[in-house]
Amino acid sequence: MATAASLSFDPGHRDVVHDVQFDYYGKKVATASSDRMVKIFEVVGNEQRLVADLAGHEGPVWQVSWAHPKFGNLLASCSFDQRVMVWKEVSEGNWQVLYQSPPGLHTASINSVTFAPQECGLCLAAASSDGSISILSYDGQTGTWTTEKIAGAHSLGCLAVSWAPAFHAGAMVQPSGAPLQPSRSLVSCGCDNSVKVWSFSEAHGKWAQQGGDLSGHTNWVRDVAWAPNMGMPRSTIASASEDGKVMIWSQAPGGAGWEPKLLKDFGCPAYRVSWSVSGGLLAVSDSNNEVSLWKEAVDGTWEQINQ
Amino acid sequence: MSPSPLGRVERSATFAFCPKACANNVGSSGMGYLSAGTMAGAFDMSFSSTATVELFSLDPTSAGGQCNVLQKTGTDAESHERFHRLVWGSLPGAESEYPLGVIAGGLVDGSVNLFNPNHFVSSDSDADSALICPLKKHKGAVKGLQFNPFSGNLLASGGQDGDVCIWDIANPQKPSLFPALKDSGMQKGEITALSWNHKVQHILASTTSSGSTIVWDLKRQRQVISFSDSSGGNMGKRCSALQWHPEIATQVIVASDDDRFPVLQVWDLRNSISPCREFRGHEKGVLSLAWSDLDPGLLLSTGKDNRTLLWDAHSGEVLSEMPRSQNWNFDAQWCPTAPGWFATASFDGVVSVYDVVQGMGATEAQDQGAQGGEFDFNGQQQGAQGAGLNRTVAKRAPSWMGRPCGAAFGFGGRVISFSKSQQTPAGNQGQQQGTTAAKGSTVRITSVPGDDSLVSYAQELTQLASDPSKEAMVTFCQKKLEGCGESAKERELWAFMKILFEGDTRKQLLEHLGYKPAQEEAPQAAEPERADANGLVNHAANLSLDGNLDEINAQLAQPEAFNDEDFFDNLQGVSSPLPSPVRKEPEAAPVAPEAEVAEDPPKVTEKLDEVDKEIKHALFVGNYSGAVDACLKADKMADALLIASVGGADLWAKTQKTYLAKNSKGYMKVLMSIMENDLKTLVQQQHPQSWRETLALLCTYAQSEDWPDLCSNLGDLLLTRGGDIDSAVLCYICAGNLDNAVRLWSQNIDLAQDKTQLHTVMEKAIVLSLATEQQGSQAYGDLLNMYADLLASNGQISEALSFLNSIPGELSESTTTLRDRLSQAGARLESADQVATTASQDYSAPQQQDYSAYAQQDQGYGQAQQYNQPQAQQYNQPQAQQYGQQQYGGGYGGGYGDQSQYYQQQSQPSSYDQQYQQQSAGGYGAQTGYGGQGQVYVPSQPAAPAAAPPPQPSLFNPMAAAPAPVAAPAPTQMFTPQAAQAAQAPPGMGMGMGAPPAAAAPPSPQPAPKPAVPQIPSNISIATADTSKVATDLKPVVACLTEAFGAVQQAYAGVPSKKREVDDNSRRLGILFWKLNLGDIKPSVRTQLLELCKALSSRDFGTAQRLHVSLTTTDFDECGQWLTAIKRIIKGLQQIRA
Repeated sequence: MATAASLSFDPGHRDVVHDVQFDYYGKKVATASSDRMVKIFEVVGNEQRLVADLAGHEGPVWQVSWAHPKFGNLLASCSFDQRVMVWKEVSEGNWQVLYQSPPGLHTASINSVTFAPQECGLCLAAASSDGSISILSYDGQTGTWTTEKIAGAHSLGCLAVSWAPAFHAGAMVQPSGAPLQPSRSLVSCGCDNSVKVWSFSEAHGKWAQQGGDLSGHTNWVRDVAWAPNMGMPRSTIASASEDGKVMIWSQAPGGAGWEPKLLKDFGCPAYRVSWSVSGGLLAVSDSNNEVSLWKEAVDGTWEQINQ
Repeated sequence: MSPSPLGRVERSATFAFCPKACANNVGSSGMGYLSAGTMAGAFDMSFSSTATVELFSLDPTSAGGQCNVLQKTGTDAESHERFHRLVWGSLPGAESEYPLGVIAGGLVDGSVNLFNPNHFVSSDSDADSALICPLKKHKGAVKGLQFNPFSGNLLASGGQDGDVCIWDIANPQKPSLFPALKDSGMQKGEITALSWNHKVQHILASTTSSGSTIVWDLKRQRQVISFSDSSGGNMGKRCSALQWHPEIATQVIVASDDDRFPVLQVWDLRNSISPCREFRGHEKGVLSLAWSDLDPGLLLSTGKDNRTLLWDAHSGEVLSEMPRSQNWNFDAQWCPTAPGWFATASFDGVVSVYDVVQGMGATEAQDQGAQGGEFDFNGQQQGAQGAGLNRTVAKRAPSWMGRPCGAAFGFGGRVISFSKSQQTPAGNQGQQQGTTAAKGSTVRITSVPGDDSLVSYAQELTQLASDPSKEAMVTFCQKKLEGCGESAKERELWAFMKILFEGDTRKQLLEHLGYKPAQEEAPQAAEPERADANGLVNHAANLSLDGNLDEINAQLAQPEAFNDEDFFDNLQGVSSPLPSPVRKEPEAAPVAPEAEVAEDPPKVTEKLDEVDKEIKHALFVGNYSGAVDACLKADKMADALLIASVGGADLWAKTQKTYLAKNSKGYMKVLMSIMENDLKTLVQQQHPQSWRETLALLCTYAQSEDWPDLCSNLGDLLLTRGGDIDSAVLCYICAGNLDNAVRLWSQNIDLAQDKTQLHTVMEKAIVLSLATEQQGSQAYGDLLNMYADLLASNGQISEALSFLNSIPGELSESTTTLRDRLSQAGARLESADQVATTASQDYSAPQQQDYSAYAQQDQGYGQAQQYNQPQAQQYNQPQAQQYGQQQYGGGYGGGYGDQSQYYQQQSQPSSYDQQYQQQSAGGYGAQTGYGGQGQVYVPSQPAAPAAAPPPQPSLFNPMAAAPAPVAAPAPTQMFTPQAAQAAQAPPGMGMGMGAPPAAAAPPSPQPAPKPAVPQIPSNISIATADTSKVATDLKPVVACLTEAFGAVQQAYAGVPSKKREVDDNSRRLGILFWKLNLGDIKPSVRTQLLELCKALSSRDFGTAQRLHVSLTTTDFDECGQWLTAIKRIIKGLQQIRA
């Protein structure tokens, strides 16, 4: 095992940071903070350089998400101020607001924002404490943004949302050579202790819950992450809860149910789960400020690979 | 718009939350419980005088829609008196008997009743037994009651009588009372509330209706300080509620229910003369308050003005207000198990549960209602004004909402994480700020623990792919073959692979399958119709599926030992393979008999039996049909067939059929299929287990053009019928069906389990891809991606890049994308100063060129927005394609080469920026939606579509003859409109940028302070490129490449499918020459280029290829635009001169 090179820096926020994200290439880093700012850094070698301060939110910024570069250098942020903002780098280091969600889209804090897989077009999902999820899509023909809403997704408040890969697990290994149509599905979690899967039905033109709730957590589910396809014919979701438990949910292709597996009871609230780019590893952050990396072993159990 | 409660229950009750999330208990989904005890001093409509304690579960799952998180659970316990206060302790150490802790209720009559809440919910106990015991000491109503937060067995109670009692209920059934606290003789008052200090275990505070607040030190058994607010000349204001600061040990907040003085005051014991902060906003007396443990910045209060206010405890502003009730709100408490949840109770007879966050979001309509006051230190009332509630957003977010730490992965196996910087609690020093001064966080970037073994694997593969010559491949396969050890499956696989490279594939294959091909008399594989009867017999026998193969062979070994007739009889007959198109026409038949008879006079005179006579008779009259019938009747098969062979086509066919129908032997089926040239049916009919025989048959008989399909069919069959994956793979290998083979291999990869698996599959796939000269397979592309992804996620970005660069042929779009991602990510590995150098070079780079490149690109994206419009179709014109190709280059090279432009854009001078911004001001909807430097993402147009590979008779014959499976990819939609844009520039899509496409017009004038540097002419080719200024030492390069290009062009002259490749080569070499002419070439590239040309001249293609790979891996940025052409030319020359 190689030793992990490490770079550590103070992003210079005047308050607590709530999210950091690498861009598609791993060259830029965006940070979101309670000081209402988003900062963009460029990371070269073992140095980072602040390239932009994005000011505009009127409350703590909870999360940021980078769009696929084919849409340009776009970053979405969401805030306690009930807004989603999409920022665009119009020239090097010069960022402008490309879009902000209309007033009233959500009536409480927006806790999570994530761009959809690029195959689905320029589209993002936002999860709010008002219990609903909104899906915002850019329509290239009209140059406008359209909104779809999943009302009452988690009526006590929705805390996180994560997109499924555009192509369902298993689609890669099907022998049919027909081109696959991307489909839109996402998973959400919230203060009702549950995890829910949603899919957009082309036939009905609307979003609907897929199957029942994924229940098992006994407190708020803080974060949820749908794993990228790993070439394996099954879908995998990780969830982290205030109850200290991180669960791995997996579904066989065409299978109805999601099979839960306890990754670990951390004994303190688990805040964040994040899959590696190609899906093999899971990073878990808990309230002890520990980051643990996990990998599925041959026998299907999960083992920690750092420390 | 008011926040609506998450749950409500109609009770006039005081309440307490269960201190823990009791998930293990019946009826609770995890958030715990709320207990409610009938409130003293209120009657409902029935004027019932009973009092009860009830339990409600906090069930978030029932909250969907309009449901209620408060669900009544279990049974009630009756109480003889009503409650002033209810508290719930966890009673650590007694979990077995009190899994839900203990509820204590302060009653009107002065007793404190202890209940075991487990009895409410447990099915095997009686709720009436829930009452553990009454603690009797107080002489008046008990309004102050609290469990010690450190020692859960200590319960403090304060009564109307002014006494404070400390109970030890470690054993609730035998509670003990500590000695009474000595007061200082200060006038006793009715105790209305008490609170344990949150930081110091033995400090307790109580407050009274007379307005004095006393702090007790239990160690010293006496009060340590007392204070009361005497401002305004009042004797002291009635105090109703009190609580210590959640974090600062010396601060306590006291509320007054005096309507003339409806304030909350924060006192700091370090200065007990006057309060340090006041919260003014209530219009009438304050009845309760609750300071959030989770976020000390949040404070709740309720009052006689029927309001419930949420305060920012730092600023004193009102953050939000819950809906007003119709009567006093007398209680508010935070839920300890669900951050942000709290409950309020009102004399309306309702207990409601709210979420503070949802409440904060719904404050628009309340700008009138809430009168948050400015806090002031002197306690002087100021004109309270709405504290900014006309904002729809609270100024402050609860601290628990934000994640204080987290981690996310980035491309290239890195993890970025953040956590709060080291905290320095500042509250104890600061007078005003009751918060920790911890601001900011630290960000860390680390690498995922990598697997170094992957590096050597990757290098092996890179090596392998870099030398695709036949000899190297054969050697490699042989090596694998020998290295397989025990695994028969692997050995077989590599043997098949090796055969693919050895030439004369089908013959080799047949031998490998264990069949010596028939020699002189054997039919030509490709021309079975010429086979003579003997040959067929030979083969039929060889291939026979029944047991007498050896016997037949033995017989065939000495054919002279048998006469023909015996032989045929022994075999139950056999027939010529030919339906008789070469035979005489039927009308000619009647003339024939004489000749036939004359040829065989002796037989005619033989002694004949009845049947023979009949046959003979029929023959004599030319009735072949009758003769055959007679023979068949007598089961003289051979005779029948012989006669039929002269009796015309119809009879011949009919007789054959009859014969075959009668004959059930397996090999006869084979024969029938061969005769009818219906190998497809044969494949279907053969038993999957005998696939090797079937394959051998195909080797021998299949038409060249059918061979791949037939082999694939066989593979499909093996999969569907037998599920024999290994054998199916072998068939797909024979078929050259890269896609299916790779798909099957890939199926078994479980990356999570074993990475070497992926390596071996990748190895096979590369070899098969080289053998079949296919790259367009989806499965192959996916596999390449998976492998490169694995390397990248392991942190080996440069290895992944060289690996992909070494893969011959055009890569799929997704792989190209990945390669671009790798190369971009790789750039970050450069040291910072290198980048700085690059950047400064870019500044001096040709500006006009940059500009026009950007214009084209931006138009492209503007166009891309409209790609769904039908009109895009019309642009699909050759002209447009041509243009696009020139602009964007073929294959990856072009797209990748553009990367330099990407950087250049980034460092555009300001004049450019302005222009862009002007443009943006016009509304980005129209144009910038997809803009930006997505340039590198323009799906590269695969140039030189991998259509028909050049004929290569020596290599894998059947494949070369077969139609290339990789069709010329149509220009992608994304691409086409771009080209169209350039060609037609339809109005409405234009960027208003005034920059016409470079091909159509010169770049728009730009005030360039530096002299303009020429850009690559759009129509550049080898013929048009100016080489006059090429340095002398580089002239040979131009000469050599021109000559080589000419040779390849000539060789492909008659091949239309190669025209595009040739044109593209010309363009790419043109670019190279153009660069040489400018002297724009790195010394290292220059050297290698010279060597490469030397190698080409001396026909040392191995060296040339190596140099090409070296350039690809080291200087792709610089050479990307023309390297593809070099590669094609090396390959072309190799073929021509092989």
